[in-house]
Amino acid sequence: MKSNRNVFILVIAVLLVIVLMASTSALIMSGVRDDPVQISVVVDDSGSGRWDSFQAGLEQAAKDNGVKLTIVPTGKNFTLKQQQMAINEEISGGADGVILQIASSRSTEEMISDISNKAVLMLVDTSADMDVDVEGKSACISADNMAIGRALANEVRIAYGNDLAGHKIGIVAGNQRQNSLIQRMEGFNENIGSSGVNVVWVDNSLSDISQKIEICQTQEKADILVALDNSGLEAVCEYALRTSDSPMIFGEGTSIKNVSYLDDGIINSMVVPNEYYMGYQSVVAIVRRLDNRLTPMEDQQISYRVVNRDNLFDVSNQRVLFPVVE
Amino acid sequence: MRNAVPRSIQVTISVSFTIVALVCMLAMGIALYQRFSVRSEKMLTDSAELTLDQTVLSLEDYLRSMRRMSDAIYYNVIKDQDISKETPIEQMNLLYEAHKDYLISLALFTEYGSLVCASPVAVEKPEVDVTSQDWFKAALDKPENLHFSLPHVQNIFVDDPTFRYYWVTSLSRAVELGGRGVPEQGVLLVDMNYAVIEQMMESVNDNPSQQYVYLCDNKGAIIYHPMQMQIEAGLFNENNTVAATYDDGSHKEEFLGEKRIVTVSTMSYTGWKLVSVIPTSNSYLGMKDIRYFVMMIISITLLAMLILNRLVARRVTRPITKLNDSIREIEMGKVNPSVYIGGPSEIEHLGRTLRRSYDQIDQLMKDMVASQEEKRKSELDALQSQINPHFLYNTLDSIVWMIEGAKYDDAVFMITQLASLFRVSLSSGKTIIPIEDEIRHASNYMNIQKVRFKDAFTISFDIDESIKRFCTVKLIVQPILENAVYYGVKDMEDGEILVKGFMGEDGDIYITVSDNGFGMSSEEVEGLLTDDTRVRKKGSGVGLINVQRRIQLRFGVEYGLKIDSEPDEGTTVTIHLPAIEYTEENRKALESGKEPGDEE
Repeated sequence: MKSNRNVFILVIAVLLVIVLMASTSALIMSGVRDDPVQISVVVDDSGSGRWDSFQAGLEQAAKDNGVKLTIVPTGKNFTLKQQQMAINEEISGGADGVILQIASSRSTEEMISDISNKAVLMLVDTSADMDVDVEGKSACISADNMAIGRALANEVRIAYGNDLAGHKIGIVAGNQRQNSLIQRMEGFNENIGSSGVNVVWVDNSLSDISQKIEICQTQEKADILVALDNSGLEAVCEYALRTSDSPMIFGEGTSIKNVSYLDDGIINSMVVPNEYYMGYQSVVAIVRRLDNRLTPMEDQQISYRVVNRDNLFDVSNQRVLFPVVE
Repeated sequence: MRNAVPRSIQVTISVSFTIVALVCMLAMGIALYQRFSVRSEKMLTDSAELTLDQTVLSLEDYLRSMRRMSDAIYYNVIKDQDISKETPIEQMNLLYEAHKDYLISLALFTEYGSLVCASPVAVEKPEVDVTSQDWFKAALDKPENLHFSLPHVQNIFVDDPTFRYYWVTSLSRAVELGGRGVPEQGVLLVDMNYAVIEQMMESVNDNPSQQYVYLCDNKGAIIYHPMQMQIEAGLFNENNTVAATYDDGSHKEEFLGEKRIVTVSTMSYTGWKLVSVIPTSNSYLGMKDIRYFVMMIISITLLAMLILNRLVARRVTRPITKLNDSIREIEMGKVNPSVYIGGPSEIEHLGRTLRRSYDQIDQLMKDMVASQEEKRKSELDALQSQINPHFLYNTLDSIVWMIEGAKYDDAVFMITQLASLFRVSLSSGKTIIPIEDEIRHASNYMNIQKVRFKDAFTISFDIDESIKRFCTVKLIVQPILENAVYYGVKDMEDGEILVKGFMGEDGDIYITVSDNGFGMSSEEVEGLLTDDTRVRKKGSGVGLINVQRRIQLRFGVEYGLKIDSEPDEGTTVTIHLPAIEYTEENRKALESGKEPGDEE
């Protein structure tokens, strides 16, 4: 009886000492700042104005979550190998998480599995082939690309009052090794198919697109030009500015350059994904995963909006289209 | 449960101290917490109000300078100038240059929206219709006022080749354009650089806490918010429309399940409201450091309380524990246990009393053992007397002579008396018998003695019938008669022995044995009942002292024998007994040494 009591008191005393030590060390440790989470961002042509909104989101999320953000300087059209090298370098430099716009969605299983074993991986803009990931070590955040394709086709139909017979379309399809652009193409084709329009050319070039468009146009002139990505849309506009033709231009874009083309009336209608949200959420998802390794990462979808000259300066669109205050 | 788990005093004291200390600590903690939270809240509110006041001042200063510039252009330039002849572009350029850090552009429009002039010189967008823009409409709606718009992207001039768009806050006012004969209305626009307001607000919000300050107009529309983009993206919510209805000062509100302190300061002229938001989780207990500190203090206090309480309880209860150990030693039957005497006066008193009680009990036990031993010895002596071989030999010898002398009747009488004597003597091993049996025994004995001494003396019994059914210790009359025969009447010619039994006035029983023998001196009488070492020369060898002891051991010291003797006159021995009716229960009770009627 007496020994039971002594053991009880001893246990309480030991517990109290543990709490005391833990709280004291926590108090001391709280003064010492933890190393901040490091997240590296690898996207195609990182300096492009196409990423302004995305980067604003990344930076805001990094600020809100105390993350050290590194945007790896990349050129245009990095290959998978170059991307993997850059990422490995970042991981060996201490990156805890990687945000990647993968160059190609094909045969990426090994690369994704390799990266996600070393760091938390968030794919942005486009999905990619990957092994079954039950642990949820990586995820993808992108727009509903099929819907974007369909929305573009819709805009074309609306512009012509649904009467497209006899009209010719040239499509700048962008990097068709990326799922996002494949899906946009699918969505566009699916919706435009029944309109009676004639798709006269599809260009998949990744460089000198403007020149390629010119070549395509010389071969068979299209009066409607559709670009499925930002750089394609810029190239189409540059072509339009060079030529005396006045093609109707539609496309997906985010850069201020494209906004300006839209403002100038060069672009008729543009689909703008909410890339600020994509950037913000990709950082938040990585931080959450690092905070709690047991929570699997989940794919997320971002919204988009269709902008034309009339609603370009609408209050609701201004923050999305002009995220950077100058 | 209370009975099942006996608690020691130490535990009780420990637990009581702990509970009292805990309650005190809790009460103190709550009081301190209340005080701390009130002070902390006040401090935060004061600090927020101070910050807001400073920010309001600098914002007002900025907006005032913009208003003044607008006034300067209007009153000093536009009013005096005939704009049909000359535009005020030079003056506007000068003012623009002086304030270009804060400005994006200055522009003057006619009431139909056509551009009169602008600084810096820029080309108007071909299809832009300024009359549909909010700032333009607001200026003409209320021409007497200056109007500050919400931040927006400027949509007037052709953008430069670098594709730049500017966020501006438009200050517009209706102006009178002179010089065209009929006064004409126009709109003067000062597009302030929104980045200036943003920078001011960012510097206020540049702190690691969760506290933030935002700016909204009097309807709650947000002008600046540190999480503006998150709000647009649906990642964050703000209670701005409600905050716009608050009066200046601090308010407590609950928004999306979070308690927060909202401090509002309204700017003059614009009616814009600067709102500081402090989530209460940020202010006191939400801070990790404070939580750890509180945990540390609590654990230190509890630990100290545990140790102190234990020490104090041990110190207080040590004397009691020692005393308890002494009692345990006594319980365990330790010979000569050491009883602890010490500690506080109460415990010392208890110890002394215990020691005294123990000594008394010990003495009583010793007395009891001695008395039992004595009783055993007396009983043994009495038993011996029952079968006194000398008496038996003499009696049997007399019987033999009677038979030889053909005195068969006498021999039969003798044998009958002897048989009766032994029956009573044995009494089936009982020590308590009715007085009737005792008298019969005495009578048998005397009948035998009379035959042996050839009727040398007479014996008469006068026993009250009423006392015959009372209890007596057996064999108490016979030794007295034996003494009377051997020391009193044996050698006399007309010796007489009288045995009387009666109930005294006090309700006790008295049996007297009187003889008219030689008597004794008072010294001898005294020796009879006190001197145990006397050697009896004659008789059964059972002395009066043995009778006296046996009576007193059974009935108590107030009973026993009383001897009255006068030399040459005779001796009277009085047996004094209590009147206890002879029943089986009373007999058993007396034989087992208890008072009759005592229940177990």
